[in-house]
Amino acid sequence: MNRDADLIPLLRDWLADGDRDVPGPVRIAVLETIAAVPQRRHRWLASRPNPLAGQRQLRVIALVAVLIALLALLAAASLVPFAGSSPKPAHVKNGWIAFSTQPHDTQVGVSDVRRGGDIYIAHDRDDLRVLVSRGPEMDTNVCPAFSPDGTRLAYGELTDAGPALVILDLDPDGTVTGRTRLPVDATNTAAPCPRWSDDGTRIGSLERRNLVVIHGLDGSILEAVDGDPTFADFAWDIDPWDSGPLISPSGELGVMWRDGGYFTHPLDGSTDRRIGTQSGALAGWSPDSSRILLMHDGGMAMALDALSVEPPFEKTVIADGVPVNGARSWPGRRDVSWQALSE
Amino acid sequence: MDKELVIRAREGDRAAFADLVSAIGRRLQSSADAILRDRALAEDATQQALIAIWRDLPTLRDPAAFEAWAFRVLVRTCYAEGKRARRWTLDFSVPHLPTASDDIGAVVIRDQLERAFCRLTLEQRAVIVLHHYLDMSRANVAVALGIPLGTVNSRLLLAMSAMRAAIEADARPPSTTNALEEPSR
Repeated sequence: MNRDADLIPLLRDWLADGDRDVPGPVRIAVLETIAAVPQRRHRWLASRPNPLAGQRQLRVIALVAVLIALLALLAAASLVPFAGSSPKPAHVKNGWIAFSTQPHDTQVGVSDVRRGGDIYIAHDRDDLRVLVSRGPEMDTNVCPAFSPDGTRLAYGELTDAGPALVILDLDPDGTVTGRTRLPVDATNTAAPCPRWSDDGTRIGSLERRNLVVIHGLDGSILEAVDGDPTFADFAWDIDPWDSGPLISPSGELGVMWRDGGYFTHPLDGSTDRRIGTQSGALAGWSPDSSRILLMHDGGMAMALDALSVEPPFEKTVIADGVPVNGARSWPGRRDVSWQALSE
Repeated sequence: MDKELVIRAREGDRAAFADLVSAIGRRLQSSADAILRDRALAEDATQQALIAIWRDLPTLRDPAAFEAWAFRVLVRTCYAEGKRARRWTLDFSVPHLPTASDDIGAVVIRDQLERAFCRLTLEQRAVIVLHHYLDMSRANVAVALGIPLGTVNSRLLLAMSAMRAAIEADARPPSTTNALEEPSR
């Protein structure tokens, strides 16, 4: 006999108590939003690229290369202005890795999603430290994002004072030297997830009703311009378990899970390569495109590894034994940011 | 679910997608409400799920699998939204107030269920909602969540045990000599 026979009918009635129609504003907002959301048309195939496709890709790449060379010549002659975004450094190296997670509850096996979150930084397990603590008030701190030049770290905060974006100035040794708090619309019921503009002077956040709001660093709300974050930059906020390929910062490689392992897919159409037998959830790329971050669930703890994408696929443990609030509270892609340092 | 509608939406027909939203939106919204126990969060999760469904619909090979796939997307956005949520949230929804037709016992049970359910993990809540609210078979829950059937069974077992334990603890009269009682401030 089912020992829950008495409980199940009560549970069903209670769950059905919340039945209701989709409210008008939600439905309308969805239909308005999808008008600006393109459907995904391209998926990476599990099969090996066929040689003919490779030849076609090579022809296209050659044509693009010629165009790029022409543009570079024009730029060098100052005939094409590149206003609006600062040039990316030619070479970058890898700095701190920041990630946010939620702690476990005091009672093992019990999860409460509303019990705050911490932001950690690390190079490897020996220098793992809590940069922003939930504190006794159980504040929520999520979505750390390094500025393009690596000197600042933005994150989303939700405290008794309401939701806000916070910007920290960081020394190279990870010491916080300044803190700016930018409150966002108080009707947001979740902490905002920040994304930087290309030039690092503005921050976008996805707020209620999937509206991208652009914030100046002085707290002003700005009109969006070229180089600002757009809705597409928040794709991982919409579906953090999306299994599509993650493109490297260099734009040369995609990486994704298939056939029981991670593979890199050179975007020039050359043969893909299996990068070891490591498992775990893909969290991101290093700024120099040499390593990927993988997360592992350890029950009520999580681990984060950096794995080289070149043989012999060296692995570095960035963090392990970090207390989390259940299997799904270890970081998603939006919860991890790897600092880029100019050489 | 009308396969033709799914195929048209998959090909980019926004009107067909609007019809899909009308057909499945209520169940998605109610399920998000049930999992998150927070109306504002549930609205955001539902909206994000619907946008993800629209965006990724061309990747769905089998239109017949639309519903299970849609609920998988919804559960994921619920997990994500729950994770970002504040420690406390103002609930502007109208609470269920006892009426003349309610008996007090039923109100007490609802409160106990609410407290017990909120002690569950999001993963446990999702399994309960899909199985006991949406009436999905355990096999379909496994497909919808992308987890093995054994995991569905164990999550259901643990969730029901945890709820029963919480309800029983709730119903127990408080001890007059509670050593763990917080000192008065």
